[in-house]
Amino acid sequence: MQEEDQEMMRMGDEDGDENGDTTTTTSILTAPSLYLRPTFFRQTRKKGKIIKSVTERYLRDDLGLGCYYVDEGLMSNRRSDDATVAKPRTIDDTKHLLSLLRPGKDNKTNAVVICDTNVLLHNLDVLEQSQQVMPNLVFPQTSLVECRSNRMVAYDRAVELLREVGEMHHNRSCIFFPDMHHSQTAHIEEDIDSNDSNEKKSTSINDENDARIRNIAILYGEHLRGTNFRVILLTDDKASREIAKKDKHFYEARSVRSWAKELDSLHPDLSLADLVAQYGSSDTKNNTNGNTDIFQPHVGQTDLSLGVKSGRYYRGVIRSRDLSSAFVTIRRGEERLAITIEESDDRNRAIDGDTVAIELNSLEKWITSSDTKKKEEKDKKSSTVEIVNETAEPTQNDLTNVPDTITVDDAAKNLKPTGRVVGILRRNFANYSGSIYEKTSKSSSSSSEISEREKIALENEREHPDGSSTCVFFPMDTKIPPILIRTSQRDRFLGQRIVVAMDSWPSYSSYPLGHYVETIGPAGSKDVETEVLLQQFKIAHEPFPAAVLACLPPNDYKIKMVPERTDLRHLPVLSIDPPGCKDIDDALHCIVLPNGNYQVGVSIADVTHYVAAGSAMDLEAANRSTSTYLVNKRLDMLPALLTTDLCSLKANVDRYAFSIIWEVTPEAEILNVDFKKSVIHSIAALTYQQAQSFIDQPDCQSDDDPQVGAVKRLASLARKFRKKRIEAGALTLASPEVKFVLDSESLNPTDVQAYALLEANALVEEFMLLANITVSKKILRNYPTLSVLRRHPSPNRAMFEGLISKARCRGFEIDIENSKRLADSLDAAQSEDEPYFNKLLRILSTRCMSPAQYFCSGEYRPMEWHHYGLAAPVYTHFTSPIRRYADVCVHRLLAAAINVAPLPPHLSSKSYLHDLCANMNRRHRAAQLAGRASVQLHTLIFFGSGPPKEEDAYVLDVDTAEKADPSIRLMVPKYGIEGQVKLPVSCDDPKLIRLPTENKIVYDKNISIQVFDKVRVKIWVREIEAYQRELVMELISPSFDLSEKSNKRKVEIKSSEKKGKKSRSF
Amino acid sequence: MGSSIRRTDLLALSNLRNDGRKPDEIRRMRVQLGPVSNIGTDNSSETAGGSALVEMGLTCAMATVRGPIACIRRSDELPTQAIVDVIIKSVPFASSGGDRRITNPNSDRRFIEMSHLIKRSLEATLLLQLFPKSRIQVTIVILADDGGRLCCAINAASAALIDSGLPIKDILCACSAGINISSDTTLIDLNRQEESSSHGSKSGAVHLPCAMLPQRGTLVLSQCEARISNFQTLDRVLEAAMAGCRVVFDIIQAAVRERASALMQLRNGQGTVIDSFAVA
Repeated sequence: MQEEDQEMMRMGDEDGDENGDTTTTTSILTAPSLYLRPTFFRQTRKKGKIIKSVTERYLRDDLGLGCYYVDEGLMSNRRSDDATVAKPRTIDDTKHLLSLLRPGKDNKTNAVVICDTNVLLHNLDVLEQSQQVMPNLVFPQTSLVECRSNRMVAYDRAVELLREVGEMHHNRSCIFFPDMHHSQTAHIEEDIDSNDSNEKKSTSINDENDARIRNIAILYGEHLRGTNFRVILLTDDKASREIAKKDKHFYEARSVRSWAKELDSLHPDLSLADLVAQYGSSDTKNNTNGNTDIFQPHVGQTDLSLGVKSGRYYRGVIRSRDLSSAFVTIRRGEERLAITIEESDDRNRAIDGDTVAIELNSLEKWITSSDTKKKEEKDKKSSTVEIVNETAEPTQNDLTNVPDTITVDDAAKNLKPTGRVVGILRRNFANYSGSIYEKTSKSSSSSSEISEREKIALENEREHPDGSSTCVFFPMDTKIPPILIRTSQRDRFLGQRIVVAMDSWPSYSSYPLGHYVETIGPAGSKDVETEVLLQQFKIAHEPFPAAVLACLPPNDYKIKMVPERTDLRHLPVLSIDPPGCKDIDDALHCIVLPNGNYQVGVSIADVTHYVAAGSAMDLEAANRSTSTYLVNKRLDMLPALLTTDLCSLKANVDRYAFSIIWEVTPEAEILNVDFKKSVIHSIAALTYQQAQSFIDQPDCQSDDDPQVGAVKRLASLARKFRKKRIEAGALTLASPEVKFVLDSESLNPTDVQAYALLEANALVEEFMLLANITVSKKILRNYPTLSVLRRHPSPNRAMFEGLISKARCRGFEIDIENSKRLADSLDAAQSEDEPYFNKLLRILSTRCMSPAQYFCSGEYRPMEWHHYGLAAPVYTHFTSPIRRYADVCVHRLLAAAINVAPLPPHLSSKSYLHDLCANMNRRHRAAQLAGRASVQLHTLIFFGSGPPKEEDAYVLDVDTAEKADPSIRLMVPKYGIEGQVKLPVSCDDPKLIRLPTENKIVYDKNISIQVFDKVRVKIWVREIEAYQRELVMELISPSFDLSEKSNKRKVEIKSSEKKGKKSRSF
Repeated sequence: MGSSIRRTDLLALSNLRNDGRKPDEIRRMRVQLGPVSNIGTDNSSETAGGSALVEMGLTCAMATVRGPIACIRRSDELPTQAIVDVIIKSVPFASSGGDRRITNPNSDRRFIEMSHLIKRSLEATLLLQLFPKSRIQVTIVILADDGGRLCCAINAASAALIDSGLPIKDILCACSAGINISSDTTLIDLNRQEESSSHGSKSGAVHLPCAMLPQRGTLVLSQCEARISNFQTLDRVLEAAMAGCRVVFDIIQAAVRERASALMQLRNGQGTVIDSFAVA
């Protein structure tokens, strides 16, 4: 044995001698000095078993006094994500630290402020808006880590603050302190008294975290002793402040409110105290004042997660349509079920988007279908304010594909399970825009909603001894309850739209507490209201950040012919768009080949040439997902240089494009297809009108002009393609599209026009559909599980039931068995005396269908890829990469499929694609809603600026419920608005006859109103409250004036149209 | 969504990994030579035996080497060189979380694959032609697994070879490297958490275990299951992994020198070798 050892040793020696260089040059990267092995106990997700896990933690002595950030990436124009723009640098010693610290305005503010977790979680607004008085901030790692696990939004904002300060604010410094790994701050007492096991158990994780943060304060206190800088530990934890007091380590511990107040007293213009979150006060109050609880207290977090694990509670995200009803989707194994949460007590302070734990109610409390109907009817009447969609509102069911009823065996009928919220696992508090309650003289005379607001205000407004007062803030978002805010500048907020953040909802308060964030502007002005709706729908509207703009090509970028691209500049490519269209993303050509066939090409702007995968611009575009079209402005997904110039396929310039080229027989048989990255030179940017005039020209002249010839050939092909599609069962749907004629100066609407649909529109649409379908097949063949596709689920019968019964009373059967039968039955439903009837039916049937959605092909079975509306087995979006991110992804997939560029790595991750698709669907819907809200705003302005207008309207629905005031739902096609109108008859009038099967109301034997009837209405605007106006519709004919003289009942209406060329929903 | 794309972590904030290491630091590594003392004593003096216990952070592997010994079947014998026989096992309690499947090491594909990889690396290290028609048996037990078990196993086998005194070309050293995508940093010696974040879901992340003969600069093993978009990335990761191997080399060499000097002292009658295992 010893011999062998010797042998080995010899070898080692030799090695060392031979290669002495290697051993000396390689510095040994020693594991850091101290070393911990903390043990954690955690529960497994599935079964709730408790397992022990050990992790390593290295403590270091080379971390100095934390890190600061230096901007270095911006200038060099690197393609990189935000993370690498600012690089961390270590602060070595006190001198270095002092050179970084910025002086405050005066002695008082000459301080380093160390932020505890709760400060980062709740009071970021204070930190963000106080740069002059809190110039030096320290973010401990502990706080950020806790922040990250509790509220991602807050974490992101804090990190953003850290970086931004490094990048642009030279009068502020923001330091990150990795206290968990710093040998002087890491709380290592655990190791020291580990022998004394009793003591060790008594310290909880929270205490340890607090102790670490206090250690930072001590460290800074020691280093900054004798300098001008004070060290402030900002914490809302009373216990921690108590310990800090005892510490006497050259630092002060303060609560946020007291510190903000102190700063305010020095600089009254700041009003920092208004920004302070109201969460800290709630906890203490609850204990001391003994306020009575209005709500059941929530179950503690540990019990909640235990309960969820043991199956006693269910976990899910609460989604609500309005304040009164909400759903929580829960899972039991593979099954999913939407649980209805009915009463506000059951809802127990959960707001839309919270992750909650719920307990199921006992079976007696479940809702039977008859209950549901009653409730729905009640709802219908109360909710007169209703935005009407082009497609059906995505219900709980559509959004998640989750049923909300369950069949109970013994009862043999469907029951809606109900439950109650027992606790909230994760809050979804955000910022909301709206205005605070203001008493007006008009309010006393108006409807019930206002008196309700007044009641809330009376109950909750109060003055505080320090001069501030609690106000009631009403958010624009109807899903969000009123918020109580505490402010000292109430008078300044009156009549303004402000942004408020929600902080907490203690059990003694009927409404959540929040704090003021910023003012948008005076209510009622168009720009402010537009801003509000952008905020409300969370649409990114800030200018693009510098990192994104840095990705743009230079201004004098020239488009050159490169060998990798096919030169298509000789082809007569032309584009057809609405007049004034700036972002032209598609162009067409059609030439006759020598063999008599046609070569048809669709060229799409090559956006991915400019937007590199993974670049800051790409990430920003992925986040925005879509351009948003409002009546008066457009919010682009990509910077304007690309949107309106480099990518836009303008006439008479060379542009990079992604072209699809088919060889087609004149009978519209596709012979082959080719995909190419190309350079094109568009010869004309036509408007729909111009293209239509080409189509309408008689045949004989057509061959002279290449433009006219191409358009005519395309039109004839499009007709044939369309015919085939219709035969295959594609639906022709309709929506009451209108557009505003805007005043060129003020951009105020001066007129409303119906959106004219010409054959030229259909032509472009037909080829875009063809391109999309062709591309979807191609990418699916190459990437069967990674393709980004678009599906349109088949409608379910329940949604169509209402329409079927309505059509039946007009003598038409609607068959929804499949899209072909539906298309045929819609075609058959023509009414001679009412030409609009068919369109009305199509509008209504569109609204019975759920909207189409993006998805990743790996997530659904091939059966479910089907696009119902287009009757296509697969479909995707390829043709508008300038304004939709889905198209950008598809461009990349196609480029990879034809081997011109490798697939970016993140596109090969299914989970990334899932997130991406979810985001695209959400953004798409938000953009639609915002567009509609914008139209609504302009409709109000339009009607507000003129006298009441009289117009034709159609009856969409007749309320025939017994014991209810009779009302009808009307739509005005001219303006694309609809609303509920109450009939001037009381519900128990003996002359009133209801015929529910026929959807008909007969009054006094000779006045009758049936569904689809044409009526005449008067429309005007009424001011219901300060800065709140609404449209009012009144029935003129048929008149009910026989019985009562002046019974003008009116109801608000909301507009239902949407705008612009870019709004096809499929 | 936006936040999930832009999400940053400790690495980007302070250039520290989650456990407090810098990106180019390996975990604390301990090498104990000869923890099992009676290997190879039962056979003739021709048979060498050695053992080693290697800890890399919380990952721990023990290897024993016997050889040259007779092959089990004549058909296995090679006329010109010895064959290497690697058996790798894991104790059921090795895994430090997550993956706690108790598997049969004889049929578990991951272990079979690992044993092949280690076998190939050892064949590249040993001077096999000195022992024709014989067999060298290496048995490795993973005692704890906190990521990087393949590298730890190779290092243990390598140290055990040294302990056995079998002739080798160089000290075989292994270390893994990877890329953290959110900050695009190269990391070496990944622990379990970093390893699992590089699998599957987070695309673009890379985990690449690698083994080399540092003094010759020969790469004997590199394994990468991630999709790497270009050669520069691969070069970068490989470079980092090789730098890690050199650090491992220094540590193993230091351990060998220490052990050797202890043995020298013992030989000269100046001290005693006390193995912790022997005492117990």
